[in-house]
Amino acid sequence: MRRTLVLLLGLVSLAAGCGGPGITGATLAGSLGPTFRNMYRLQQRLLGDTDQSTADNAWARCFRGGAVKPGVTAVPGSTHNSGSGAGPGWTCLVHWPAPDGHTQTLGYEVSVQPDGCYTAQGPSGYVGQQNIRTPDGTTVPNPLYEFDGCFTT
Amino acid sequence: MRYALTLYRWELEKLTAQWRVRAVFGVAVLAPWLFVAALRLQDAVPADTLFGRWVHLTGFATPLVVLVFTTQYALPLLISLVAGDIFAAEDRYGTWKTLLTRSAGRGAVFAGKALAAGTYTVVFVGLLACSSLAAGVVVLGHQPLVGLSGTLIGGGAATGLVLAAWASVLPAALGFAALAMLCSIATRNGPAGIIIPTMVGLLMQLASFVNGVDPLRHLLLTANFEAWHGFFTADRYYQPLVTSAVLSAMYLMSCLGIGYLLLHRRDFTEG
Repeated sequence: MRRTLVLLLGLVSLAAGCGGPGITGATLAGSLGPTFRNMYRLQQRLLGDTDQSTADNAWARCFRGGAVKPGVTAVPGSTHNSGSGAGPGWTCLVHWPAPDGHTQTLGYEVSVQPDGCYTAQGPSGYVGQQNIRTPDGTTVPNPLYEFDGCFTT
Repeated sequence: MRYALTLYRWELEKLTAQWRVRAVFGVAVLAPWLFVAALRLQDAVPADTLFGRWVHLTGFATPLVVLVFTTQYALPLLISLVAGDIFAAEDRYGTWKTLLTRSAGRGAVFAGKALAAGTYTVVFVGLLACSSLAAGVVVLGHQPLVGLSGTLIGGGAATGLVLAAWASVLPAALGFAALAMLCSIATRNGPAGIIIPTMVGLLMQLASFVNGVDPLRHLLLTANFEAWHGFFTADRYYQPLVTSAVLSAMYLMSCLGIGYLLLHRRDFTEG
């Protein structure tokens, strides 16, 4: 009985521990990139803009550590995904289509929970304040100011 | 078997007569409505909770915020209030002998009480789920929900996912009920049967926030409380639900097994 229990516990921990790729720069970027794109579309929709094609080439690169100023792309370690593990201190760079037409690189500060859910906060100077006003006058949360996402670990 | 069912019905009757059970059910029904009323009165949002940002935009965020709050702090306590006392109450009133001199054996008594505690747990979770979903949709509306990949989830799909998320925490909820029953049998003390599982729940919740114990994190009963996050992404994933449900079943069976052995071997002749 006890031996069976130990065996079962071992199996569960094996299945849980080796099941997925874990939390890495690549897995985080693979989730945050598309989520950012969807949040951009949602923001445009809330603002009443029907042209939603501009964020389609959004991508993300994620690495651990190193505060990033918006618009700066040449950060050590930022050319590829790197780092691993849960916790705060992640930075993800995303392409953001600025209103004037050119594409800006923005740094999101990301905190990742051990279960693969994360919160990303963007630079309000570029993506707007916490709340935005829709054309019909209601105040809604700005999807790009801060957003949550989850990926399998 | 027949005795177990009779005792189960009798236990349910005892439970529904308790003010404690009525109070908990009342809270489960009313609290979500008070929560959405409070949301309507001010602009702040519980932004550090998943889906908390969207509470003003759609009513489907309400049951999910309530789910996060409940599983993080309150669920083990609210379950143990009944499951942790269901055996110890017989000690408090000195009614074990009366109960066991009937034709029903200890197995039937155990099964009847365990089934009643399980029923209470499922009914409580179900009431809270339906009440918070109804409160959110009625007061705040049924606009699409912003999922965890930024995609919009329409009303019908959101209803299904919200109910699935609530159903997905039942394995761990029943696991906590079994743990509370084990404490109730082992300590023969109602307050201990309520406090010990509650503390275990809080400690497990604390441990799951700590980094660096990752293999250990999957062995916690509370891992099941987070398994529904994968329902709300664009590419849904169910692996956390499967592993945590298996683990919860193991907790459940071990606690019930040990509890039954303790009750079976107990000498009631002394007092």
